[in-house]
Amino acid sequence: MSNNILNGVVTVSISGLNPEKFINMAVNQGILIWNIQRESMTTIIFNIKKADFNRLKNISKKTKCRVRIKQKYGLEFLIDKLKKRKSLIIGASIFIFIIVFLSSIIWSIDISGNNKIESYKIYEAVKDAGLKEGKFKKDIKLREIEKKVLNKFDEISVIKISYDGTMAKVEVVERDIPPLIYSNQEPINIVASKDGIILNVYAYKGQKQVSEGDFVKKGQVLISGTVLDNENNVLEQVHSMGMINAKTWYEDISKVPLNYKYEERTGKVKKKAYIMFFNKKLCIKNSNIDFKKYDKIEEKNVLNINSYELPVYKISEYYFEKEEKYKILTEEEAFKIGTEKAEGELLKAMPANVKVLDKKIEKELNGDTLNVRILYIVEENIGIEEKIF
Amino acid sequence: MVKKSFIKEILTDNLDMPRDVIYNLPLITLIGDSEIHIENHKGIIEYGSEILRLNTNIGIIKIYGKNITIKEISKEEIMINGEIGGIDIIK
Repeated sequence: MSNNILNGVVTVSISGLNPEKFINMAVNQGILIWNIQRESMTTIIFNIKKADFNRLKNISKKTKCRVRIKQKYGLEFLIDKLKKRKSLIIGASIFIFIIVFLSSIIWSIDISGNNKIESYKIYEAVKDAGLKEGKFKKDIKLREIEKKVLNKFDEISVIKISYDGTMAKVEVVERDIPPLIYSNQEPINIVASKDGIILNVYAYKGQKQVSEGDFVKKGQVLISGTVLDNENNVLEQVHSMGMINAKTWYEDISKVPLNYKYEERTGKVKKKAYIMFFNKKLCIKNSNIDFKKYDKIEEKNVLNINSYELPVYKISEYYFEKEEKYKILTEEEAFKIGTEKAEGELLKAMPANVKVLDKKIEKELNGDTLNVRILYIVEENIGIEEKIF
Repeated sequence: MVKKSFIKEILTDNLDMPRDVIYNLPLITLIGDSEIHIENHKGIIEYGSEILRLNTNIGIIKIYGKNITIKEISKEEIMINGEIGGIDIIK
């Protein structure tokens, strides 16, 4: 019976003078009939299969009964109905396709479990390994990505990536790395990190090798960890400690031509604009650049919709016209420019914790260029540790 | 009653073959007072909610009761539901 529901069932009412005859004839022709009910003197209701319905016509003619369909149900009728509504089927299938298509893409990455490592670092690592927003799930090999990320970070002991709908969940378990033990047991020399003249030496441990006023070269041992006695026998090797302040110097020379050349923007600007879409450039606004010299400044903007980045960029290029200009400087002006330039260079080169003892500025006119030399004499700690092997 | 033949007599009496098959007799099964199962029928003569008459080899079987419905009918079998009051065999 359930089989018939799948195929389609028709509830038929027949009315005539002798409906029994109708049923007998139908049964004799091999039509299966069920649920027969007498409605009135002349009408009977019964169920037949959809496939048998057309055979009733012949019988109804012979028995002079009228056949009426009361109800139709079953899958076949549903399919017949759907066949008439093709656009509905197309729409529904497109809808299902879009749902399946969109849900097979990763739309977000969620990183959890990290306390020490910044999320963006893990995000970058995962992205490099191949897990990216907008990628298809089937293209991503999670186990390989896990391995790659695990190899990249020492601090991670376990990483698990799983999908939760369209979100990729990255769960991380961090490991505590034991701190590096600073050993003050291993024998160490203190050597000079640069040339200089010793101002004072304080050796807390180890044997002093230099004294005040000595000129030392880079790499020279200042405090030795190998302690010797008067007859040069090794007594012990220690981890030497101490402070060595020395006079060192920093120097910079800048050359300033008196015929000073400089560039200036004339104020004329031309603009070009492009739209970049998957590495293809599309010109929106073009202009003829006829400047001899120019600065080109490029701006790249990502288009977004509700903070979702689209793979579309807008590039605008600005061309600023430039002009070369010459200016004859006096020696004083050149000197000013030169010292500013040299001092800037020196401040970059010098470490921050030095004490400036002296500053010397020299100038020398050489043809039509002015050489400015600045010398800083500073006091700094030049001792660095070096292992004894 | 149908005509008796010698061979059929032997088959049924001595070899214990089912009588309904040999004589082509209707097999009437009554389940409680709510369902009747009849095999080897020869078509409906009259059907109403209180009466059902069936043609068979042994004559007309008349079933009466209340709310009689035919659950299923095919060439050889018929299943009847309802509150059955009685069965008559009319020869």
